Amino acid sequence: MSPAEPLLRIQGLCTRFETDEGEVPAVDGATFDVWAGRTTGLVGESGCGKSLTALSVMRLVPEPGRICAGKLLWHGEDLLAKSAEEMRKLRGDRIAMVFQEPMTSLNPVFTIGDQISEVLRYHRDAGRGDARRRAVDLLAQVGVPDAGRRVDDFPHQLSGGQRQRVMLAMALACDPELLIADEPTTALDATVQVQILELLARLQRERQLGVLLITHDLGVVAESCDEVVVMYAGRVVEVGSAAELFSTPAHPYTAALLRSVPGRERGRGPLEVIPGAVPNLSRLPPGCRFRARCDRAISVCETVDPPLEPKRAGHLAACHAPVIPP
Amino acid sequence: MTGAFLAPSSRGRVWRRFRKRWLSLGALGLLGLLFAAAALADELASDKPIAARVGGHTWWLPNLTRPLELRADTVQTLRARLNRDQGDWMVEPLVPFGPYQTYSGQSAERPSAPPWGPDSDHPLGTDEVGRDVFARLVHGARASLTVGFVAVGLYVLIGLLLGLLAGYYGGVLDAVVSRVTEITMTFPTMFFILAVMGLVHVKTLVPIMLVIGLTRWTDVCRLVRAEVLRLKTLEFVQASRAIGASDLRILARHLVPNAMGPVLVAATFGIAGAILIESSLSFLGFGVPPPAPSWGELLSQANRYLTHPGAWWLTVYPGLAIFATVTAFNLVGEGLRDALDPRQGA
Repeated sequence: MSPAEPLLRIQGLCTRFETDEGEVPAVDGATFDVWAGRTTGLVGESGCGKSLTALSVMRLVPEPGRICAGKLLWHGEDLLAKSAEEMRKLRGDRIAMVFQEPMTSLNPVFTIGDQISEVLRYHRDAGRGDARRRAVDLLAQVGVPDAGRRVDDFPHQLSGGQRQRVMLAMALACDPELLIADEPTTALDATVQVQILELLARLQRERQLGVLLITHDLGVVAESCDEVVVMYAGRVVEVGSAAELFSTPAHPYTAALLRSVPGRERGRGPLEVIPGAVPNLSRLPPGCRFRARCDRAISVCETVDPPLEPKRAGHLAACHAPVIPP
Repeated sequence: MTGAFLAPSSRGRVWRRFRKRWLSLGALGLLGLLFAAAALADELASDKPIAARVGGHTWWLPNLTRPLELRADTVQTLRARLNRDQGDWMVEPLVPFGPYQTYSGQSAERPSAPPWGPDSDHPLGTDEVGRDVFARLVHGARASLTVGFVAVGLYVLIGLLLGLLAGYYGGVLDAVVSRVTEITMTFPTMFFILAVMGLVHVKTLVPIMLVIGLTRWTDVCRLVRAEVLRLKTLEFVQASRAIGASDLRILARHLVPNAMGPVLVAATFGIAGAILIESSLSFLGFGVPPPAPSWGELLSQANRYLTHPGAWWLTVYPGLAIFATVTAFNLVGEGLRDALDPRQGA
């Protein structure tokens, strides 16, 4: 029972940094949807604009960044047209976010119970006692053992995995519709990573959450995403269902990314890498941004920036010479 | 890492580390005694008893309530009227002289004119008009501590506010605050106060405290600004924005408590500085109005007796009081700084 309208439709989002050396288009025309009850993975290498896309949705782009074009349709209403006050009321209430660094995402001077309660007191006008009971409840839901006692712990008394659970509890306190998780497991070790992802999946099923999961870990994507959006140098280069994207990637960049995941074809020589580096965003060459690193580049790639268009049903890619499935 | 914060999460740890420094701990104890002495000055040195029953009347704390019936009486006169057979009793202060009382009791071992040296009546001697040095020291502690705490409280408030705004909002505001800070830093507080005193003709502690408060906030401001610049890049500030917290809430709840550690250290050193300024001004005669007691004012009396070896107690005791207090505040500040230093072990 997939709803007709996406929870969040990002249309042509452009976010720029105005630096002394000129404008850097860190996110350039990003377009994709996030649906209720589904997980959309946003992948790409460092600096490709994943996190900035997420922060743009929250309208928390750090200085000197600016959202300069596009629409963020939240239930059909443009978030960019909302006032700062309206936006503040949405944050933490309807749209929640979990950050990468659980070690620094909690205020060291307050107990975790305080910090979870803060959200409820803020958006729900909850009383002290109510908020605390709810905090214990939430901690139990995110799998913090002995929540009744842990609620009075300070962040430094918790492990990284537990802190990330606390962050999740904070994010889920007001029962949001959309959860943006910015590399929620990157700072955790492998076993804890699996636990957090499982927790995320369970919470999503239980609450019909829309999740935007930002990661550079393709393993995480394969594990937990329904749709995948691949970004490269500020652009969305491929959008499709996780299953299809992994089996038959259309964009050479996605294909190369998949080939460079270790352990897929064990013991067959050295690990494959994508040659070259991400181009400097402030001095982009004309044509396709991936051209210089692409083994399929043709002459048109040098002059025309490929638009994001359907290559198969429900599968979009921005490429003049997409990978043809065997 | 969290050791740099003086907030519930680290209070225990900071105290554990502070406790290990016996010198700072001793200094803290000394300051405790000093506070107690200042608070209980009327019980330690007063010309009225703490409590007494004389001639059928019972008075509690007449040294505070100053009842009319006892206006003319002192501990000495009451001693004479005390009739123990009729159930009279009296609880005397440690030293039965107030800070303003000139004692004219002549005796064989006392030369005719004050200052008189320490004896059984005046454990620390008297000043040049016969007022008890101990009484004036204990009561003078109030002036010193009041100046220290009010002036520093004022400048911590100013510095905290300006530092927070400059660090958090940056831009033009930061530039303006930073320039004002740099200009203010060049003001010589001491001479500024002298100039102000010359203009306003109010001989109380108020202008002293105001001027110290208005000129010494620069260090706190710079500390807070630097802390906020560091803290605001941490993810928890962004995270609290992501839960919909307003700027005011982020400032008050997330930045202030985290920036308080270094401020507290600066404030402790600042109190020592303010006490020194007050003492210096009183020494010069620009401090508390006479006959109000102050450590600096006691020292200024001693000035006249330095040339011949007469009244050493007028130099030594107030000097010791200033020295011990300033040193104690500095030691506590140092201990606090080390205890808050995140680079030190747990």
